[in-house]
Formats: sequence, structure tokens, C-alpha cells
Amino acid sequence: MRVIIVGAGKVGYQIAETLSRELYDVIVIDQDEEVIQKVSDNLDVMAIRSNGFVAQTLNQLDITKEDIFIAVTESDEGNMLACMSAKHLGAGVAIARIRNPEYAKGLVISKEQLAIDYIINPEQSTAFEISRMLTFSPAGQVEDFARGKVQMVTIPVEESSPLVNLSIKDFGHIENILIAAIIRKGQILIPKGSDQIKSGDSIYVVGKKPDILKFCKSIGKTPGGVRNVMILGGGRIAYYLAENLHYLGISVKIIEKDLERCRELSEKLPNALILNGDGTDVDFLKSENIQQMDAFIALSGFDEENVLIALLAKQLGVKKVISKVSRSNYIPLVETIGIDAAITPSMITAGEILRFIRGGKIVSLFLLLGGQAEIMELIAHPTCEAIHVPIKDLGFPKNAIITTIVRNNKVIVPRGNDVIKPNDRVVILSLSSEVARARSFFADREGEIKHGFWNHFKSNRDFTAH
Amino acid sequence: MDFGIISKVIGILLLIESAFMLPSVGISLYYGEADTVPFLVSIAITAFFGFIGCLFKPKNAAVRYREGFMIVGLGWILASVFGALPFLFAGTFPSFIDALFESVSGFTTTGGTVLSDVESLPHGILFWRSLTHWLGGMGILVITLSVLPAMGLSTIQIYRAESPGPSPDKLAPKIGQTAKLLYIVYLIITVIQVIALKIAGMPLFDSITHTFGTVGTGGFSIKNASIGAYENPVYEWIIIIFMFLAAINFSLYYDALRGNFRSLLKDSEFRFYSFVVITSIILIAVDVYGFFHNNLGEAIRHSAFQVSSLISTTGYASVNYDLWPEFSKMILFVLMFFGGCAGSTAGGIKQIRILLIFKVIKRELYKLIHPRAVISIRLGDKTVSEGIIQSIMGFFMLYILIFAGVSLLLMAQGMDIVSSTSAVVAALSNVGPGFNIVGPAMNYGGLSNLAKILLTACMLLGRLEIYTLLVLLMPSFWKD
Repeated sequence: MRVIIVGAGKVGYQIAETLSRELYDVIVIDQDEEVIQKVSDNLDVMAIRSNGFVAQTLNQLDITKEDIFIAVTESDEGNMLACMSAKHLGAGVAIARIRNPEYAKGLVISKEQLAIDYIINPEQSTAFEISRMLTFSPAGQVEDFARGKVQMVTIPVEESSPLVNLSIKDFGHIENILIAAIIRKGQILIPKGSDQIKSGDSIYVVGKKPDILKFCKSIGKTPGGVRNVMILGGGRIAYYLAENLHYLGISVKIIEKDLERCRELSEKLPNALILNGDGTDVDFLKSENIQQMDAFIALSGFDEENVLIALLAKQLGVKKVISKVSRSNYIPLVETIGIDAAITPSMITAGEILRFIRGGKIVSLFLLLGGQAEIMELIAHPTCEAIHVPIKDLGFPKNAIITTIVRNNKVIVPRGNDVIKPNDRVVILSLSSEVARARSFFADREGEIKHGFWNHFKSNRDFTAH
Repeated sequence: MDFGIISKVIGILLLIESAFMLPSVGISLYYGEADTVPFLVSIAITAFFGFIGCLFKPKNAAVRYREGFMIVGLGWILASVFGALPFLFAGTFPSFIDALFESVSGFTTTGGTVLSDVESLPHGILFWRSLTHWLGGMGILVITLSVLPAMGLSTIQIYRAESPGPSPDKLAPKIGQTAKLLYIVYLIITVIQVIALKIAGMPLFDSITHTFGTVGTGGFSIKNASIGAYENPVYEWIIIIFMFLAAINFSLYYDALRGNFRSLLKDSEFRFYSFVVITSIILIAVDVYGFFHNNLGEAIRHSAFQVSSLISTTGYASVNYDLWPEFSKMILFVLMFFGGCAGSTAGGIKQIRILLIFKVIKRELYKLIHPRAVISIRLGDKTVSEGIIQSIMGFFMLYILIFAGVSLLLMAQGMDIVSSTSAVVAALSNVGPGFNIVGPAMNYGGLSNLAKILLTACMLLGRLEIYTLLVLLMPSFWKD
């Protein structure tokens, strides 16, 4: 299988490096001579110095259905154009990086019409990653479904937890929350009503974000206790992050040097406090109460500045300190000197693209616990078996569970009497042995399945573990 | 400066004005009164000058900034001068200054009169007095604009210069279209009020003239004791509602007519305006409760009438509020400064500016805590640019300066402080009656000629939102 990468910046290089080590044939196209030189010197790929948007270049490649096309140049419009051209020439999959927040939210035509299979926005992904780190520190793993409306978190149950010795049916009265699975001694089990939670278990909880937050609070797991966050640098990541955090009820201060950018931010972020000043000025940081912050996130353009100010924040007593580090080689060093986490947007982006390529078209498919179980998002076909029958009468496999239904943008955590309607989005958790049967309930008579096809912003955890 | 285009536009304006004098001729014939000939002569003179103005050929097809200000400033002055002719020729006013005061008071929708006995006036004159309110309310040049684009003239500058409020809305891509739409909305509201008053039992002539005074937020009545003369609560409630409505941004009605009611309810200026009105009504009703012998219904009705009358800068009165307690009078006095919403027929500083000024104050206080904070001022979900904020602060300052300056000049002539300050704000905000010797039961007839001229100028300044007229006095305006 061939992978064609247009643009060999940090992200392009990272993807090329990883994929070239695997079975893929990688072709890298970039206009910059120096960049191409670096690629061909260091990587086992074909490097072409040319404009990846034009027919002359693309025609030479003899693009076929087997090819994966990735456009990650600096230009959003260029990436869109390149993907459309590649699709037109017959590429199987086209992936574009689009970072302009206005494009991400407000294009008239959909990404299907643009012939782009997957849109990735590095800043947005990074912001999601950070907000997840901040809000769900008690939870182990966090995954999003249905455009982030539905979340699944893993919560470890300690001996002191009020959950110990409760059986699953005791949670029946808690609205919109479902305990989808229990992990006990490395084994995953789909619980029945009579099953009890034991100390040392981990539970998978599925539901809407705010409901999960409420649930976590009720069992004494306040999500990190983060209420105030200070962000250094007002770039795009800061913008997305401030939006996310506001949604989670966290107050945000952003420090930015450039007055024009401050104005822009204060226009776009009515709920954040935008401060115009130099983040390296310690007195200024103190006058804005850095000591009282629950978290400090350094997102300026300079790694050194980020690391130093983050260290300073830690020293002043900020509980959680995260720093952006563009050069991924620094990460191990940074985390040893006391900064809680270091993140690299290009790694997150590359990780996301790689996961997409490996996962094929089913974006929202996750393997749990090394493949013992799968969680997936499907669309109920209008002629499928599962429709119009109450769930309890469906004869759904014992080792699979319908965790949530998304209907007209509303999230429903189903009970036995609920009914699935045509074109509902369902999120299913199933042991590997039952996956095929569970899926067949939502397929039409020919057995074809419409997959949930929404963009997701996944953590790069499994990628960085490589 | 392109004087061709200026005289041409003003020529059309005068032709339109002369056409609007025609109904008065019919009315005077119907009632068989002596004002037929004065009207015919006025029409002939106005139309003649209008025709002469139209003969000039414009050099450019576009109206630029300077021509725009010139047309609006000069247009309003000339329209008022020619509008005063019927008053002068009918012999009802002792001097030209008095006739001009009445005419400017009409066109600027002020509604302050120099006459002590309006009931003795012939019906043609009464009708013309009220019609000037209706014309001036939406803007005499807005009418002209609905005619102009057909002649290939670009007129955005005129619209900008005449429209009340910091940044006028455009309802349609073309100014002429916008002007027409505004007049259609205006006409619909007018017709509904006339029908409502007629059904309630008011004679047709009284209904029409009072409707003109209400929807134009003018305030000329054909009764000496204003609306209070009828002693009819139903009339009063109808007029309360329409005074309140006339001070709302007309583009919101246009949205509502197209089925978008939500934009009315979501509009921050409308919400603020409603809040101010309701709070003032409650405060005053409580204060005057004893004054109306503990009759709550009456206290609320008269409070609502005076509040909506003064905040919409109409100037009708259902009772002589000058006799009310000081607390209520002070609230009414402040409301006269506030005025209605931008894009309505009301005068005053405008609710939107007041609201934004409050927001700026809040921001300044907040900045004391966070000196480096960058905060945008928002209206609803839109940010207001710093340029507009500055011009609003400038406008407010200028308003207060002119208020203080002219009040001083009146006091220098021996007027007391309550009468002079309330007279100036009543003129500047186009309200009409003030307190004490210019109170609702009194009139401006007893003032000196100099005072009348000063107040006439204030009315024009207020109606054209100060900048439009003041810019004509800048020496650099006249240099190329």
C-alpha cells in the first residue's frame, strides 16, 4: 500500500518516519529543497521536490484506489485542493490538515462533498488532549463518541470507594449513566444487574460529559478539582482549549504579548479573561495570582520559555503544570524535571492520522484491553433487525451491550424498554467473540453496515507508547 | 463641494414637502376655515424654490461625506423654514421666530409649542403641525432617499448622517429599498393606531393628529391639556402602548414582520429599554400612589403614560406631572436624557449608547483589578469596535456640554435652574415639555426671542445627533 504525503513539515515528517518503518511505501512531496534533502537523507522513502497541488505532479504518481493521500502543508486551502484532486484521480483515502477554526466550524460544503475522508486539526486535537488531561485525572482512559457528545471513561475502584459491593442494578436510578463493563483481574466482563463491584476493579462508565462529571463528583472523584487555569500564549491551541474548558465550567486566563491578538481573542472568547502582557514577567504572573491557579499550561511558541515558565509555576505551587514542547526529543527530559506533562502537537497529529490509516474507515472503533472487547459506533439501518423492538426483547448477545443511542443530537442511555429508531447512532460495547453477531443487528438484509463516520479527536497515548 | 447635487436633493425635498401640504388645503376647505389661501401660497413658494433647486446639474453622481452632511444639515433647516410659512401666513403666530420654533419643534418631533391656546387654531394648521411630526419622525430625507436612487445618485452618506443611533442598520442592499421598507413599517404602525383610537371612540381628526404625534414621538396635541383633556383611560392606554412601540428600533419590526420575532426579544437594546421603562413605571407608581388618593390603577396608568411619553421623547401628558413629588420628577428628568432606541423615531442619547456607556464603565472598573486585561465590549454576541465606543463617549460628552452650556445661557437671562435645564434637555432630546415654566401645562411662548432661537438650535442639534450639524461649523469642512 502506498501513502502519499504532501508537505514534509513536522507532522509530515513524523508520519513518513513511522509509516516507512512498517509495510507502507511512502512518497513525500514538498517544494522546499532543504526539507526534501533532509527527508531523503534520513528516511527510506521516495522524496519528490515539486508542487503537490498541481496536475503535473499528481499525474506522474499514477494514483490508484489502493493509495492513501495525506495533505499536511501549511495551507488549508491547498490541502483541501490537493485532496480533491487526488480523489478525482482515484485515491482511495484522502486526509487533509485544516487548522483554521472558522473552516473547522463553518464550511458550507461537507467534508464528503470536499471528497476528504478525514480532516485533522492539530491545534484542536491538542486542546482536546490537554482538556482531557485536566478534567479527568481520576479516570484512566477517556474516549469520545458521537462528536464528543458521548464519553467513556475508565474509573479505578479503590478499597475506600463507595462503589465497593454495590451491584449494577443499584445504579439503575442514576439517569444517563451506564456502567458498560467491569475489568477484573485483567478480564473484561459485561455486567448483569446482579453483578457486584469489587475493590480493585475498574469500571467503564458511558454517558454524556456533564452526567459523567456529576457521577464522578457523587463518588468523591472530583475531576482533578481544576477550577482555574492560566494559559501562557494565545495561539490557536489556547483558543480551542479555552473554549473546551469554558464548556467544562473552568475559568480561564490567557496571557498573550500581542495586543492585536488579545483583541481578537477577547472578541472570540467572551468568557475568558484575556491579559495583555509578557508571560516571562514573574511579577506580572504573580499579580495575576498564578499561585492560586489549579493548572498552568504553557503554550507559547518557544519551547524553552514554555518549560522555564512551567517550572516556575510549579515552584509557585500550581498543582498541575503542562508544557507544549515542539521538539519531541525534549519530552523525556522535560517530564523528569517536574513538569507534569509535555505535549507535542505534531506527535498528536501524526498519531491521529496513523490511527485513522490503521483503523481503516471505521473511525470510532476501539479495542479495549488488548483486543478482548471492542467498542464501536454504528448507524441503525432502516431495515435492520434492532428497530422497533424494545431492547430487552431484542435477544441481544449477553456479552454485548448497547451503551448509548444518539438521536437528533440527543444522547439517550437506553433502558430495557427503549426502542431504537431508523438512523439512530448506537454505541456498542462487545466482547470480541460476539462482535459479528452484535453488529448484525444493525445491518440491512444484505448485511451491510453504515458506520459512524464522524471525526474524533483521539488521544495519542497508544501512539507515543511505540 | 458639489453644490449642484446639494441643491438638487434639497430641491426634491422641498417639492415633496409642498406635496405634503396639499391635504391641509383639503381639510381647510372641508371645515370652511380661513387657512386655505395661506396654504396655497406656501405650497406655491415651496414648490417654486424646490423646482429651482432641481434645475441645477450635479457634477458627480455620488454623494460624498461632505455633501451628505451639507444636504442633511441644510435640508433640515430649509424644510423647517418653508414648513413655517403656513404658520406665518395664517397669522396665528406673532413673529417669524415663533413660527420657526413651532415648525422646527414639529419636524424634529419635539412637540414644544409657543401657543397657549391651540384649540383656537384652524384645522388645516393643526393637521400640518401634526403631519410635520410624522414626516420628521422617520426623517424627511429618508423619504427623499426612497426617490433618489432612481436618479442614479449614491446616497449612503445622507442615510448615515440622518439616521439616529451609532451605526444605522440597512434592511436591504439598496438604501432606497431600505427607506421604502422603513416607511412601510411606519405606515402600518400609523394605520393600526388610527384604527385603534377610532374604535375606542376618538373622533377621526383627533385620532389622526394624535397618531402622528405618537408614532413620530412628537407630542403636539390639538388640546390645550394634551391627552389629559379627554380623561379617557382607554385612549391613554392605546397611546402608552404606541409611544412605547415607536421608540423601538424599526428594523426589529421589519424582522418581526418577516416572522423573526426572536430577534426582537434577543436584541440587547430592546431588553435594556424595556427594563428601564418597567423599572421607572414601578418606581414612579409607588411614589405617586398617594397623589392619586391610593388608587393603584390610576397611579400605574399615569406613571406608565408619563414614563413612555418622556422616554420615547414624545411629550404628551395625561396629567400635570409638574405637580408630582420630586423623586418622580427626577426619574422623568433622567429618562429625557436617555431617549428611545437607535433606529426609532425617538430622540435623546439613545438606549444603545447608555447601555454601552454602562458597559464601558464596568470594563474600566474591571481593569482596575486586572490592569492588563483586554476586554471587548459586546452587544448580544457581537463585539462593538473601539471606534464606535470612542464616538459614543465623544457624543455623550458633547451632549452634556451643550446641555450645560445652553442651560447657562438661559439662566443668564434670569430663568430659574429647573425651567432652564429641563427646557434645554426637552429641546435637545426632542421631548417638548419640561418642568416649571415650561412644564406640561405651560408653553414656550413666554420665553425671550434669544431663548427661543437657542432652543430651536438645540432641537435641530438633537434630532441630527449633534455631529451632523456641528461638522458644518468646522473650518476644515469648507476647505478643499
